Amino acid sequence: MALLMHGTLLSFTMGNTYDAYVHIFFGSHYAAGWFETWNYKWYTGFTMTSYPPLVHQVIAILSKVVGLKLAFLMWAMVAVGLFIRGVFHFSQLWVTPIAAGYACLLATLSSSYLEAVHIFGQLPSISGMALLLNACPELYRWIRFNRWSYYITGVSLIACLTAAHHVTTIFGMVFFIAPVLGVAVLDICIDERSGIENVRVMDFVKKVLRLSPKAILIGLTVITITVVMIFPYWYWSKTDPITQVSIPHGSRASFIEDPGLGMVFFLIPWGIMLFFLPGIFHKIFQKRNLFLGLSFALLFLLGTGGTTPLPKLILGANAFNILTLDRFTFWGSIIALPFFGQFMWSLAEGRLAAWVKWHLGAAIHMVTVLFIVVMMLFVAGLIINFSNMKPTQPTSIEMTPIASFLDRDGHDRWRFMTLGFGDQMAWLSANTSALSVDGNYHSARRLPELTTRPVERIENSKYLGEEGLEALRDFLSLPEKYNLKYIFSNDKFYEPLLYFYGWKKLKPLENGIDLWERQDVPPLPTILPKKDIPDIQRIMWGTLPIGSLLTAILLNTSLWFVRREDRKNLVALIPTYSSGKVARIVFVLWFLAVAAWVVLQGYNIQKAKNLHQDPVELVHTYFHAIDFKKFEEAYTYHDLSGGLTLEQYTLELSLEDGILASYAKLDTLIIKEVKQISDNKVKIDVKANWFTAVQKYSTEHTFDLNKKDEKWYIIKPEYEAATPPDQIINIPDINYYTQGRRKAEAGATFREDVLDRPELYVPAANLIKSDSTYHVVGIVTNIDNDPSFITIEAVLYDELGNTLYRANADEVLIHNLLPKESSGFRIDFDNWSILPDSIDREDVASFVVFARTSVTDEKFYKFMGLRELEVQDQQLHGRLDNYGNKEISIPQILALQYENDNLKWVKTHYMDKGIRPQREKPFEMELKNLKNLCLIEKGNNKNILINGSERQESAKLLPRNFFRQKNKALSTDEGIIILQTNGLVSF
Amino acid sequence: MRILIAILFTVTMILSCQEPEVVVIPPPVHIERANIKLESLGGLVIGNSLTVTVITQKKKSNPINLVVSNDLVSYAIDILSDKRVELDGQYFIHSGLYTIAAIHNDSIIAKRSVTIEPGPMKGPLDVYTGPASIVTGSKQSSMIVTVPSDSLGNGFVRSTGVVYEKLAADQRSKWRPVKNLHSVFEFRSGSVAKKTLIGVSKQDVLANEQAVIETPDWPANFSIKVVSHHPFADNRQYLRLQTDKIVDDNGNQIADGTEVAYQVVEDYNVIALYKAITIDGVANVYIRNPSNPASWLIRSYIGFTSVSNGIPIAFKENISDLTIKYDRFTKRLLIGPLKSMLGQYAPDGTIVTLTHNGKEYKEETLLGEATFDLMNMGIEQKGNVLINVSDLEQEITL
Repeated sequence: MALLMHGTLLSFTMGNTYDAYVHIFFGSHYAAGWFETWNYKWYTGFTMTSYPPLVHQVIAILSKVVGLKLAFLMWAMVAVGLFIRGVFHFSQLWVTPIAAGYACLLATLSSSYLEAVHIFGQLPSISGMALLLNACPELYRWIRFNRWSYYITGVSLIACLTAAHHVTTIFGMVFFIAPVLGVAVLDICIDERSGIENVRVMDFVKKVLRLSPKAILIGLTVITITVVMIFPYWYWSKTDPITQVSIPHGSRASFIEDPGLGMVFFLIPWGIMLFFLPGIFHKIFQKRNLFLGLSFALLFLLGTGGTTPLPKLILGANAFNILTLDRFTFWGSIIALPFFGQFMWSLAEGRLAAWVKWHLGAAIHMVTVLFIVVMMLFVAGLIINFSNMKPTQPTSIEMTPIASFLDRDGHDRWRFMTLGFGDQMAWLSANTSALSVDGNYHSARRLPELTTRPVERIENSKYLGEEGLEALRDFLSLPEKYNLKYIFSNDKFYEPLLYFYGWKKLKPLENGIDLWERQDVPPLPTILPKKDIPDIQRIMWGTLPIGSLLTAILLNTSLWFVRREDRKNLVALIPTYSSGKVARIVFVLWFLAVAAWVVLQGYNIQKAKNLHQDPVELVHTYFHAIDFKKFEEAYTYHDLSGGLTLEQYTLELSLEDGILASYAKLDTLIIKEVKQISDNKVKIDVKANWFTAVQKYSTEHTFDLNKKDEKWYIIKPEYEAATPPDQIINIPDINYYTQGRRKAEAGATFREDVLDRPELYVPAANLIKSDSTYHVVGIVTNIDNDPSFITIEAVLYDELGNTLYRANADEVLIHNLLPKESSGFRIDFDNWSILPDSIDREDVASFVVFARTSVTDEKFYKFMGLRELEVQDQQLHGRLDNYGNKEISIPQILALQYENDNLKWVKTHYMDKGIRPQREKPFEMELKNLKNLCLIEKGNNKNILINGSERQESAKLLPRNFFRQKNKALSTDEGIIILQTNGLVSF
Repeated sequence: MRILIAILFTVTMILSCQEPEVVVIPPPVHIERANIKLESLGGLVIGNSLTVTVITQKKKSNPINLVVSNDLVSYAIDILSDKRVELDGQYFIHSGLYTIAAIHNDSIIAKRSVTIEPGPMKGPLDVYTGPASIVTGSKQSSMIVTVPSDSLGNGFVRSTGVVYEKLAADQRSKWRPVKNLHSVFEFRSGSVAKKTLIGVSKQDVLANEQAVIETPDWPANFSIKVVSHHPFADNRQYLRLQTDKIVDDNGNQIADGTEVAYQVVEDYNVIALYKAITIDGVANVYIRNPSNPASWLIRSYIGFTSVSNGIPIAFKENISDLTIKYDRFTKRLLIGPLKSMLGQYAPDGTIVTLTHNGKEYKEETLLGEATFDLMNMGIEQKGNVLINVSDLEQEITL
């Protein structure tokens, strides 16, 4: 039943799990090179000895016959089968064989197991659990009946377990094996004393002392196995320790403060067992089961995460911040299975069944049992469909077009990155030989941009707040550092960031994924750095884990046949489980309390749907609908009595482009004021905080709400009345096209097809200090007759000429310049934490600017102007006019601020709304207070290099009056301001 | 016993104090000299075989080790003295100086140098041209470097020259010698912006066509003119300006896509900045009319250098009169209908400003009218309010 159910379901759910593709990717590595431990494909390479390899090696072997995905499925089925067997034999240590059978049925529908398999996809972890459960009875029999063949089989399973998931071995010793050994010793005492009631503490202690050599033996064996089996892992941990800052995980949160996480990491794993928790505790804490009870209680507590301070106190801050605590809940729920099985047997056909039938009737009994079974199936169905209800992954992406692109024309000579792929990024890596700068295994990464930030990976940085976006910006602004040239984007959220950081959007691939390219990035060197390990370790890594599996199979199957008859005599001493009257009352009260809580939650959910009762709640829900683009739902919140149609509403929304309308996520919503105008009229002032890939925005809104028939509705504000003057616009425009390779030949580009670097001039570049942060500000002019893509890099040096910090101009630069066009730029040196500790910002003594160009055929749009310009109290007001024939989705304004003829600051501002043709929108831009800025050094011909040559070489091409022409710009009290415009336009 | 040991020790010490041994250095061994005789059928050219004979005074029983080497390769073969040995042409695929040495009994008994010449020049000629675009007006030059080679890739240290031919008013073809493996042809830009094609050849050995683009220089000063102008402060309309054909000092039309910036000055303050691009040397810009009457001076720039004439432009008031009605019952202030100078409604979206107690409220007109709902705005229905449209304003008492 388990194989049928999980096997069928996993083929559908596998692609939506968090970790399945990661393990498949690891498997693909071993399939390509069994003894190769260095994987170049993620980050700048990482070692495969950072994760126990058994599961991945099995996938690799099977993939040679059936492919990677099916190999994963096949091993998962083996793990499921082993798990059910393990539950059965483990349960027989605590409950009767029939109850153990019930435990197996419950294990099949176990919500924690379903979650681990079908939502998390943690194949090594569930493989480890399966092996551990099978190992425990073997070790029990070895201790209790002194049969050394069980020691051999138990140890062989532990060896496999370590090779599959060492964390399960380490914690399994404490939470599973120790209680099992304890109960084995206790059973010996019970045997000798003819009943547990006759066993005293001293009897147990004496027995423990007598059997201590065996305990020491098993301890030493497990330690030896754990060390030797995955010795390269320990070697790597010691020689290359993790420097990653703690990454937040939902399992460490307080489940009261964040009920959503509580549902995922507490309610779902416990599932139906929650209703019967006191009963389970009562059974587990029987005298014989005391050790297991302590284990269970500790696991239950640790699984509560940050809800109480106790887990952190117990584990220590370091371990608490590194471990994910959902594993404790998972293990706890597995331990509870035998006792839950015992309960269900009792209810179905045991003592409890007799009681119910006697007191309430057979019909009630049947209904009760059926109800519980249906609830279990319902919960199982909910979990399996969880990803459909609350998608945790983007829709499935066809990888072939991406892999084909990377594998042809030498595109794999650079690194790539994905955005918005979810965990499918690992599947892409498994299907291409190209290298990615990102990855999905943060324990092994060493890139300072990632290790200094609490971010899982770059590709979902928008969900990680400002830290995530900062990490992404580091890579986008300095792609040369890691030879990053291509980005595959599945999320429009990142489009403004990519565009304004100088990335060029190419034609989308056949699968609809946007492809972005960065010009002028050097390719990867032919030889890439690699951390090698001694050959002996490589051989160990490639032979011991798989060898342990083969050995375990051989030993366990052969000895199973030999010991088949023997097993019938080697049964555990199962206590009789019965509850007193008080206990039963507690159980019933608890059940009713939980049931009432569930009903209450349902009522609250239902009540929340009835939004029109409260105007403030309505405004909240309206913003939520707008944020998630549920426009039809948002429409229903409006007062429709004025004749507003859905068509009109969505039309006006569709016309409202801009960074907020199309590329923003709502961060917080603040209700500033609620004014009661009359009994049926309310005015609500709202401040909405949005975050986008480029900056944060705050918008202020005033909502008028009407009450009709006891329901509140939003009165839709009037749409802008101004209309453009012309029905048809005719604007001459220019198109550029670079041929690239003119001959259809694969291989390197001919030199005749390489265009000259356009000429550039940097009239000014100054080193500025603002508080303790350094910046380089300047202005650059394309003095060539070809359109040019510009990269500006600045380097800070100490007095001895040692490099301290390199950074590029990112969004504060118009990267693509037409002939004779200028742009200000600003380079910020504001992330010293990613540099080695030996580098001190106080050592900055000088700087050099490197500017380079390449010809671009980017589409330009310059048909815009700024008007009604006014500077008041450090605020620049004005209007941006789009007189052309395309919509400017995100207009950008650069302000170059001068003081006493020295350029001191360059600021960028993005307007929050798009501007359609022949329309204009107001803007307000806060200028920088120049008084807090200190000009450290001005650039000169020696420290400004353009395309590798000193600046004066470019100056030879300038007209004589170039330096005499004064900048015409806005005049302020402090100095002048030069303004430049740019914009993201959809062509 | 101790005394015996002491005596033995003493004797040993005495005996070890001796004069150092004298080592006799043997006299030098006489090295017998030999001659290397070379014969070549096709001449000393790459790919041709060479016959070598090592002539010794006495016949050697042991083979002689013949080493043929240059800076790139080294071959060693065993031969017998006074025997002719033919070295195949594959030993001499590189042109240049070879050393042939005969070694016998670890001594060099003969040594000879021979220069192998490259084979005939083979096409296509390897040509490097750069920069591929240069600015007119003799400001920049471009260079073509030719590296002729034979069929095996060997260069020519010196040779008769290479011919460069380009179309120009001042010259047809130029001949440049090959020195140190290459030939160079450099030329400065002319005054006319064009694409210059250059052919490179040496007799029957040719190269691919080379091209250098001579691009226009910096734009000269230029002029702008008004193309269309609605002389009223109707901010829905545009003023269109156009440049003349912008050229450089040599009369070359500037590159398409050159950015032209426009600056609008009112009362000595810059109030607007617009951009346009040139197509066929001409840039068109559309500047929105102001909302209020104004007098502007507009000038245009390219980069920090080229500047145009200044054009004065005036805009008259667009709204003819301001009508205001206050409905005390509904507490609404109705502005309009506002009429424009031609008798039509003021453009939709015209901003009407209401000022009350220092606070401003704005509404847009639709079909010439704007409405202020004072109750909804929280304005007390008593006191004065100021209504302002464009340059017109009126104060009313509620």
